[in-house]
Amino acid sequence: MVEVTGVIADLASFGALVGIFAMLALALNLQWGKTGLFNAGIAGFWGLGAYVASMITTNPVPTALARPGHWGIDQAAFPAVFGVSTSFSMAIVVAAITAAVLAFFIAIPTMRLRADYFAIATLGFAEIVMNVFVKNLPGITGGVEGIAGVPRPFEFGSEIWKTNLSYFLLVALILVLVFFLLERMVRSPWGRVLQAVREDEDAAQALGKDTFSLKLQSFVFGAGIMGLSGAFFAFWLRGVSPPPNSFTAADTFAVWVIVIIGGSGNNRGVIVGAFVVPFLEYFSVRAKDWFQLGEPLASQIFYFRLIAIGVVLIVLILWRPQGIFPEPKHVARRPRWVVGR
Amino acid sequence: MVLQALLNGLVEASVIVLAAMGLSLIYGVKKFPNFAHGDMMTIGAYTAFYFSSTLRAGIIVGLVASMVFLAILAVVFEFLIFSRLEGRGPVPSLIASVGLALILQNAIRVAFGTGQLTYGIPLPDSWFSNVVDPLTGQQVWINPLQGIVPLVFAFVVVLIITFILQYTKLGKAMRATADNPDLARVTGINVGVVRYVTWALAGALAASGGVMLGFRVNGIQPLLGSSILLLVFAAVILGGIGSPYGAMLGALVIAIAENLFFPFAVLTNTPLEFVLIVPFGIMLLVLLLRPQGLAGRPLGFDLPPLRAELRKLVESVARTWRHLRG
Repeated sequence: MVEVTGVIADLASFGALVGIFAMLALALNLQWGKTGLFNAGIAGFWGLGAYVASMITTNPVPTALARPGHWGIDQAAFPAVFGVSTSFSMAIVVAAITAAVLAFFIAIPTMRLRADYFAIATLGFAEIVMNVFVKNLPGITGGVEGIAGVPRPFEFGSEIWKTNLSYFLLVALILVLVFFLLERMVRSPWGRVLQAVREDEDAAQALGKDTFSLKLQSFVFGAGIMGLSGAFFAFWLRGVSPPPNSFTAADTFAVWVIVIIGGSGNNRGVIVGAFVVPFLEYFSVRAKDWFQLGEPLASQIFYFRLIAIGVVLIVLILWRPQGIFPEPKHVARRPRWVVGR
Repeated sequence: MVLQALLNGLVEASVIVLAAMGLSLIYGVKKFPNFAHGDMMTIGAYTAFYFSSTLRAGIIVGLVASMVFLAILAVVFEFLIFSRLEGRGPVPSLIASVGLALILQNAIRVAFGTGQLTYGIPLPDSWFSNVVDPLTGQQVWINPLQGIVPLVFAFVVVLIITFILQYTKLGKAMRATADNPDLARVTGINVGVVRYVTWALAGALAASGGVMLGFRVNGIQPLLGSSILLLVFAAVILGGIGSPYGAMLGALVIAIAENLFFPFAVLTNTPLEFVLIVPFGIMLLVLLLRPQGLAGRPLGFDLPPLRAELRKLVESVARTWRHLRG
């Protein structure tokens, strides 16, 4: 029984991480796949969401000599509904909104830049947010130590339920909601205009579309989903820690790998692609035990994982830039009132 | 402290300029930002380490060998990856360069470990001048290995690059290709060869920049080059994309502004880590106000004024609001 519980808990933990990355990839797919915005600052929005969620779901820790301390909210202030503290729902919503607000202020000056400049600018913003502010504000963010002891939503009931399974189901539910919301949005007239902006911004503008505002909406909404994913990542990790442990440029480009493998513009493909990065992560952690690796290789396998990501990125860009699942061509259904053939 | 900051800025500029000229050459000729440039610098620093410490060939041999090695490596990158992405816009090459950066950085970690290594050159005593800084009352100082060597080396390299670009046929061909590849081709320039030469030159510059950065911080580690990549981008954008002379000016401005932040931070009690905001802020201002950079000519794309965009945004919000109100 212990064996089975352990395997289920392991798989559920892996599945939850896949779901978290799938949310990031769906958000990037809206920004890049549909709108053509080269967001290289994913780690910034993701990290901001994670930090905000961590602060809302933990008690404040005052700064002391040996520990940096961080902001928090007294957990007793949140009423419990059916035994679950409402601080979680609060944390998820506020994390998404904070990331979206940050995206709004970043977008206003940088949205007008060409794709390559936009990439440099967003990369720089993520670097500033995570490496300068979050890391160097002990007393607010926990400084270099981050925030520990972030709880998960359902930690009660039987042992299997308590470990990881309930959390996996929650992430899966949210992922399904996000997926259908995004599918609905990109198939709406709004989504079609976004694709027009991606293909030819001047043409869309000539047709009277406010392309700046459309790109802004897409960027801000995508960043909100990234913040949401960050909140779930903080719960998953039961804490947050600043770069170089988490929220680095390597995370940003891991999401890019997912979108490029899955096929930019194809939401289903992107979810399939989301298995790749967590699998490599999981594999590099477990390979040591599975293959009885000796010492130099056992610690180097983490770096081989990143080398593999780089190789996949280059190979796909060279030979299959549309990804495994290319963007589906949507043809409008023939309206019922059209008479004839 | 201000005088000292200016001097430190000058030394840092000499390291940045080596990287920035290479990045700018690639940006000009290949039209994409090379995110692997920082890790190419790191590879250069480690190659020099390998030749000088492991093979015991001396640091001069190490420097030359790393420049040659990186030049060859850069040509291989162009041959295997970037020449095949020609004509697909900046984004595929940019993504490929990110993949390359991941490969290079982690290959170093596998080969040399993650710890800090040194060239094994004993650090000479610093030179103290008679000039006293008015703010701190301390003498202005510079270390011969950490300061003078990069400064002199970068000065010589800048002169050589200027000569190549300005007075040789190769340099003229490079500038022509950067300006308009199609026009360069019909004039009889072999654009493909020019691209390979540009990569080789940029690789050698990156390697020398990496070695000089290793001297300056007196140690090398796997994130050596990528940690200053944002500064190098800031210098290149400030100077004007694809303009190596602009990159020199940009490096000088960025490095001095960054070093002037330190006395300011001490006076105002700001954490020193906030220094990254200075180069990034300058970069952003330049992108917004003068995207062609200090030395560059206007780019071929049209940028509407910020005020008009903001007005449009406010109008669209107001329209949505009126719509919601009915």
